[in-house]
Amino acid sequence: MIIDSHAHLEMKEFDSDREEVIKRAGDEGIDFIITVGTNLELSRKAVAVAEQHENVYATAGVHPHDAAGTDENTWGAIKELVENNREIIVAYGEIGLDFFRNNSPREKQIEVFGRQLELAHELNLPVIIHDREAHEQTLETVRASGVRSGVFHCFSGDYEMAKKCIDLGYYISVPGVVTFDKAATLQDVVRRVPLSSLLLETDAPYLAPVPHRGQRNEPSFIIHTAKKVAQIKNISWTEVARTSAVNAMNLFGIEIFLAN
Amino acid sequence: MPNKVNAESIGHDKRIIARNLYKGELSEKDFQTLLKKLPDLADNCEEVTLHENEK
Repeated sequence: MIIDSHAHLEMKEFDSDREEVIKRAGDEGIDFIITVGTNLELSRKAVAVAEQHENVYATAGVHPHDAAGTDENTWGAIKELVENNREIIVAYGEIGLDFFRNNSPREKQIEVFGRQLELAHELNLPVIIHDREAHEQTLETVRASGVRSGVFHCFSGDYEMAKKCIDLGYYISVPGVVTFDKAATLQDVVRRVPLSSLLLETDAPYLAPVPHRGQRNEPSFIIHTAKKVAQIKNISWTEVARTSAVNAMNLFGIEIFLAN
Repeated sequence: MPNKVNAESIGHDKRIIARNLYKGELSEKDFQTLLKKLPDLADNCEEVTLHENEK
């Protein structure tokens, strides 16, 4: 039992072999994949992918890189998308702040992040937070929003930051970066944060774990991340996989379909 | 909100069971054992009467 809690199957990098990638994930034992929208168009495409696969769920939202291109019409369209696809859309995101690339002006990112937190609250969805080089501003914005259900995806802070996120009611999501030799800070976070607060993700097509580093990432590679987390915590990788899967299902409200 | 999932109930999801049966990771015998362990939800049922003109 294992879940890839954050991938981007709707992205063009998967256009030529999306079906094979999803099948491969199933063959490798990946039970569910959350495919995460990063703008309106890709959120719609994420929903379309999820509609066709019982083991894929989608999210909707605008990434900070795309903040500059949004206006009130964007939020109306996202709200409509969510309300029309309640069985498929399990979270609001990916939203947040990226002060590393600054693809959108910082002021616009902050405004759009706040607006989307409001919308997530209104829609009663957990949020998926992107935070790069913007820890304090991100925490402050989340704290002020009152939204207390979500995950800091591709976590890039230290243990002190992780504690603050967990205190706010958020999960910490561990990407394939944890397998890199130089990821000492993330490995320290994984060592010290209880498994009950961790999710696993690929962020595919980005950030492939060792031994696939440098290749296009895909959900089936999440096994390597689970094994590295298990090694760091000195527990079995199946325990890591199962507990992080339970965490993901509870965060995203994924229901058990009972056999009959 | 749906009920909280736990480490045991997660294995009762019929999508996961179907995949495990298909892959041979779950035998028919184990599947039948698992079915017997499922909670009886008969009390949650609601009786409905269908009238001819509503069919």
